[in-house]
Amino acid sequence: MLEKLTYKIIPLISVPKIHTDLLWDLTILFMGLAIVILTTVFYFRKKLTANSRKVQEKKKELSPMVSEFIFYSAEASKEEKHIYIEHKIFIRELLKNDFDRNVLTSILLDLRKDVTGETQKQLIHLYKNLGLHEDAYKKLNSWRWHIVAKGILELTQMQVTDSYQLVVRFINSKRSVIRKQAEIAIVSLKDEGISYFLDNTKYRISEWQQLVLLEVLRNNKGFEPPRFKAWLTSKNKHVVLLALRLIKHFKQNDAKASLIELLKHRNNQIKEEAIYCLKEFNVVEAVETLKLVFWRCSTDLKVMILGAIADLGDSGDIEFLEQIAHKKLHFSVKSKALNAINTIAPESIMPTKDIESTDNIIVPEDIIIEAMTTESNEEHAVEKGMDTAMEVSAEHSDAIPFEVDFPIKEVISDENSDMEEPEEQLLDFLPIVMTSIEELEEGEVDVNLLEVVYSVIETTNKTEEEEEEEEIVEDASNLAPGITDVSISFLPIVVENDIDNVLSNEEKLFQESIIDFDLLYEEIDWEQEKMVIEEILEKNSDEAEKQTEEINLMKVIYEELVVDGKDNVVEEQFIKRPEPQENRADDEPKDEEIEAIKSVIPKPFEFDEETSALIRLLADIEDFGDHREIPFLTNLLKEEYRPLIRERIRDVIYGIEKAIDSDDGTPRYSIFEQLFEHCDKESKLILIDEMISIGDENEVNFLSELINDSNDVVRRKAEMALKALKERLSKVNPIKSDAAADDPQESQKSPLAQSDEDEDLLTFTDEFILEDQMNTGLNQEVNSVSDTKMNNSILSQMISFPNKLFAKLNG
Amino acid sequence: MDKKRLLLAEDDELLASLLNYRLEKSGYQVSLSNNGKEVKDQLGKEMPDLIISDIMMPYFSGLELIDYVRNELKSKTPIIIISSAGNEENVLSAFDLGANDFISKPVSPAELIVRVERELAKNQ
Repeated sequence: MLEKLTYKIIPLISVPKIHTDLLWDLTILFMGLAIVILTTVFYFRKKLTANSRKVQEKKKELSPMVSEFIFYSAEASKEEKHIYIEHKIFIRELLKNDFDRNVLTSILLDLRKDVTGETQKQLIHLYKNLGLHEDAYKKLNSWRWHIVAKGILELTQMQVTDSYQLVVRFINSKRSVIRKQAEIAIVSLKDEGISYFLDNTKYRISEWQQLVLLEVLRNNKGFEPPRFKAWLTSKNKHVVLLALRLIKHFKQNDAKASLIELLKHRNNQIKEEAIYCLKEFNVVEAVETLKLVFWRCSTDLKVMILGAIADLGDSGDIEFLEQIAHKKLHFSVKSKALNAINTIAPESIMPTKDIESTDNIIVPEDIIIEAMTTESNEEHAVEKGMDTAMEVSAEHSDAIPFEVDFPIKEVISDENSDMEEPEEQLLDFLPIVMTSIEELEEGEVDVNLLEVVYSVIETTNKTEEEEEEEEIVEDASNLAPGITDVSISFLPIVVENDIDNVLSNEEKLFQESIIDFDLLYEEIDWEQEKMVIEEILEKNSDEAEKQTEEINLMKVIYEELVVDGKDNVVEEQFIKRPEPQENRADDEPKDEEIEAIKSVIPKPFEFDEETSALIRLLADIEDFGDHREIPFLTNLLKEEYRPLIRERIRDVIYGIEKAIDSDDGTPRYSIFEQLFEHCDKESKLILIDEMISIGDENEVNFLSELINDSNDVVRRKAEMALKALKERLSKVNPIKSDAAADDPQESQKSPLAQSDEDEDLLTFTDEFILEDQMNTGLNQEVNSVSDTKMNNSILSQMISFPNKLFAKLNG
Repeated sequence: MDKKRLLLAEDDELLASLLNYRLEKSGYQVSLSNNGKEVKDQLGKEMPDLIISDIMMPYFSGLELIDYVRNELKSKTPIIIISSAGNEENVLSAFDLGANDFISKPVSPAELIVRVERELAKNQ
């Protein structure tokens, strides 16, 4: 038992006997190989790194030169031109070295990818100018495929069109990389390249390559595409496919027949592209062929064909689509068929999945459903059709979203045939007339068996309101025969029914509750009321008196006002009113406030002596002057430039004019009259002389009085002066002279007073100037002493009068 | 008149050299940076009048550069982004971060000059 349980080791593999020296030899060998490999790797890696660094440095060295060559212009300065020539010589030297040539080519190719526009053109020009494309030609002859491909790429990128013929031979190269590069090169370098390529290519054109070629053609500015339908007959199916794509891309819709024919192509891809083209160009003629090829196509293509029929088909194709929906096909095909039907005839197929039936819905009795009746019968019929279809679909799998009973038209017609006659349907709105409601409730009477009496309905254009009115009036006329409609139309419409039937229960209750109120009347004692009113009035008057007394008893505190010469105006602003003591401290103005107010107040004007004298003179003129001062003031106004003084002069003139205007004919006194009272005979004679020269109507009156003077000399002198003065005045105003002489009242009026309507200051000025000139002329005649304008005025005469008097007295 | 200072951040040395030459010829003072680190150092020293940056750069991408300038340095210096064709998402991100303009590769140096002039004029 124990032996059975014991394992015995049986040596199945015997270790071969190897010589130890051999092992050591092998170890050394492998170590040597490892060292060689590692050394080689390190060597090559270092070499490559060094080479890369060298290339980078060379690039750094050459790139500014390249930039200079690219951006060089003939308008550059002498210095720039000199540098350019130096660099050109330097680069020519560099080109002798292969390494430098490669670096330069590399730089230009790199930059070619990164720049565009004019810079790119300059770059390509530089590449060709330096003869670097010769290196690319050499590469084309290389036995290494990647070098050839690189050469073709270089020539394509640098658009060396001369290389076209050299590249063409690679179009059917066994090496796909070279072939593809050559295809791109041919299409890029020349416009006719695509034609040559489609004519001659024997190999498959990959999807990616087709996209690349399309992109190349799209970016080729000024490319004029050939008619690609020519290649629809190609035996290379890839060429046909590319041609179809090019036709679609360049929208060449002149190959309808070929496109329809291609629907029958064995290749599904070609069919697919043909369908795309037919849809794009809206080739309606293709529908029948599409229907035909439908049954032989794959599911995807069937879906595509149905989509095309939806776009190109019409109602005649619905039957075909319905048939497809009926057939046991893939659900996506059926779905697409239904979709196509709805596209051709929108909403002809309605949703059926999970739609509940409306038959079992119980509508509350008080709700009237009108919506259902307004819908068209056809829609109703379609819904019914859908319901039927739903029942059918319930039996089938859930995967089918729509299962339609397709003979919809038949369904519609059947529904219509089951319905009542149209004439009867139109009378649905009429009320059902019953003998009694009980009979209807009991269901004893069949509504359909009721005898209905129809009356002719006349259509009118009247409104409902008018019709109602007419009905009421008609009823009224029936009640009272003989009364016409017109005669009673003015009457209000009286409703015969009891008001209780009209009012609602709530209204009735409200009315009843108002009627049921118990009214209690209160007696008023007049005497008592009178006493109360008197008491209130008395109380009010007492309060008023008390308040007045309180105000009178208030203590008024007066403060002294210190009026400063400068700030008097400011101080006046703060004259304190008597007020309660407690509020005063708060209301006292602060220094800041005073300063603020002071800054607002304008400072007083200070005049010099001359101006002050002039202002005083103007004040005197204002007080004593009359219209004779106006010429002087007008001249003064002309000469004056200071606005304040000008304003003052205007005021004085205005004041005088106002006095003239307000003259109401009251007698005027001569200014000489007062002087006559206090002077001797000599002086009186002198004054009479002055009256001749400067007097007016007032002096005429005064001289008339002097004619009766006690002194003969004075009397004679007065007579003479009166005569002279009248002559002078008649010259001043000849028209009115006679009247003035006859009527002293009239003569007192100033000639200027006649033109008082004209308030324009300028008009006055002109008149005064004229008068001034005339006065000057008169003064010259009487040898007066008036030399200046100022002498013309009465004031100046008065000023000079004492001097003259003294001169006369002194001989 | 002082020359406007531009910072050109482009990892492609050849393109950077070409653009640098063209910009200097147009009268700008250009500082070149081949990677993000250099850009960061230069921005720390002195803020240029305008930054031209490639979106794809080693160490510090163009998007990070915009974010750094706008959010850390709080500078409104105009930034023009150079992006490769078909890199629209990055361009949109750049605009979201505050780039002022962009130009796609292959670059037209003449177009770049116009855009630089326009941005500088806007910023004046």
